[in-house]
Amino acid sequence: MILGVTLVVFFLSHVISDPIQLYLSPKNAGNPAAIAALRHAYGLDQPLPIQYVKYLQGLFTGDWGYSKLAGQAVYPAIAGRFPTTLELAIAAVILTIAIGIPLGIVSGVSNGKMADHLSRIFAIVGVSLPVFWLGLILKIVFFYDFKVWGLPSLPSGGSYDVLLADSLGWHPAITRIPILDAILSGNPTMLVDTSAHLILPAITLAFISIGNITRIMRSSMLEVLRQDYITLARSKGLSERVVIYRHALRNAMVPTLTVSGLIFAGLLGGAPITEFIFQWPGIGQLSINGILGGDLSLVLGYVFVTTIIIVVANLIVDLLYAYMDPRVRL
Amino acid sequence: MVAELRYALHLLTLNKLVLVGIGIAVTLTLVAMVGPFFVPSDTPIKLNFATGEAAQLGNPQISWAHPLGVDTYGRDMLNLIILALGLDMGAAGLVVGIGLLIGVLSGAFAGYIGGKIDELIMRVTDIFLALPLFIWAMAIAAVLSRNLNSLILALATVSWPGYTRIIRGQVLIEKGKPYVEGLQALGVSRARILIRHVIPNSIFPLLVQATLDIGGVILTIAALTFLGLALNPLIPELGALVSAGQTYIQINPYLITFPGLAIVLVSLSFNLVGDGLRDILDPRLRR
Repeated sequence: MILGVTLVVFFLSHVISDPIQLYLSPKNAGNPAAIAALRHAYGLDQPLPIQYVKYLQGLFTGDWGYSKLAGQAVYPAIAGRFPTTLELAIAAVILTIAIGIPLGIVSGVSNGKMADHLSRIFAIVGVSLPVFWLGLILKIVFFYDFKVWGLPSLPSGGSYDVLLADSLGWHPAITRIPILDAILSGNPTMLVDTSAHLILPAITLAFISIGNITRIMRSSMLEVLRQDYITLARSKGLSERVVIYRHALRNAMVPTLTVSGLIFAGLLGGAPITEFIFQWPGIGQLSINGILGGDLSLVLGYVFVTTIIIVVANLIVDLLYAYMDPRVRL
Repeated sequence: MVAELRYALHLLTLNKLVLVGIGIAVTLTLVAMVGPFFVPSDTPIKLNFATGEAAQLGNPQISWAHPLGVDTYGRDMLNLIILALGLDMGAAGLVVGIGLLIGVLSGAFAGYIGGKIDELIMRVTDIFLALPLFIWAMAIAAVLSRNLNSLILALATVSWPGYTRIIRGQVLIEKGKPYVEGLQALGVSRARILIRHVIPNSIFPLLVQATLDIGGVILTIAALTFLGLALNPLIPELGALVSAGQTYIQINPYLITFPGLAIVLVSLSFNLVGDGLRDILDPRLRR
């Protein structure tokens, strides 16, 4: 699977446009001899299959090529930004689960009533919103308008206020996750700052996932509530609350949790657009810069990382599913 | 078949939201198709820097002449949105259409013939389905030239595997049904069985997914053009309009609100319709 993806991406990058462009500096561009020399140095004059094998070798040893844009090798560039994306992804997932699951439960339990309709509308609108627009609108309201109205405004970019941090002599060094580092180093000002920076991007990201989770939770709740054992529980005289929480919920949660895992994996891909809008220094933003700047090795590295994350997440989700549902045999 | 359709339509009407969705979708499609005839054809290039500047400086220029205001180049926003709707919906339709075509052919073929071909096609499908649509689109758009056609092609290339999977599942189900065996016993050729009987019976879930996908594809196209991946800035396109207005959101938020709302409406309506169709599909509601 991963091999397949790398194959497709490699094929695309090498066959469609000549990768030598990456390594040409302006002074070499017009000089055929220099170009030929560069080709040889980078092994680009070898037959394609050999290039592919070399590429795979490089992937495994951590040599993912060089990024002209980032001014450093691809792997350290991506690895360096990963914790920041991790912070955002975790925050967004927490929000999604905290809001989406209860909403889904309420919606499923009160099927057909007002609460259900409202939740469904909310969910479907959430899924239909363009991420970039939502981010911009949130920025307008919470950043600009709040300022005009005199309310404390949430910051619009970056993961923490660099100037403030410099003045306090602080920077994320322990886990490289800004908010965790603020907690771990016991610095309350930075904690407030990093949290403030985290809110808007996390909400933007979460909004759409909340829509998804609510729908899935709702449909699995409906499915479960139809089952015979629920009727049995009710006829035993158990209160509705016990029926829902102790019996229905356990079974309804299963598909929802698995989907949450997949959503988390997707978010680890960095939600490039959200990072772009909020200038969040994560791997998503890196990939966008790479694409806009035509930096192919960066984009390839990003695609590779994302694929691995998603494949691994799928695996974990499958295992979890088998663990939680005794009827499923691997 | 007719009775089934009638029942399906009846189910559709039970859900008010879906009707709203259908209403909006139909209206938007009409606007997209007919609207351009009412819009002066030189709108995209008739730049008016004076009004454009005013818009950039904070005066949205909303008036009877410009009900939705004016964009950064001074062109009428309403006209632009109408044109952009046509462009975007057309592009989305093409993406889904091409994807459907390739998907149906490959999936039905894979499901019906089975064996090694089936395995091969499924492997390819798995590869493409491993990554989210947007990431694929980004990767492909990065290597191809920056124009709308390559974008459409790129998106179609990554969307067909989804349909392949769906229709293959349906075909497998149909294959097991007695009528197929009966037709084969009658000596009907496999191709004819496939095309005239199996595919029409398998196609409904696919249509549901396609409708939902139109909404999703529009969002993806808007996102990609927002990032600046596709067009020259004068072509009216919803994502590009939002992108152009981005710099001025502090002073003139209308520059992005209207194109954005248009995107939301289109995607919302198709999602509603697709959702409604999916509810009909629910086997519990069938005979």
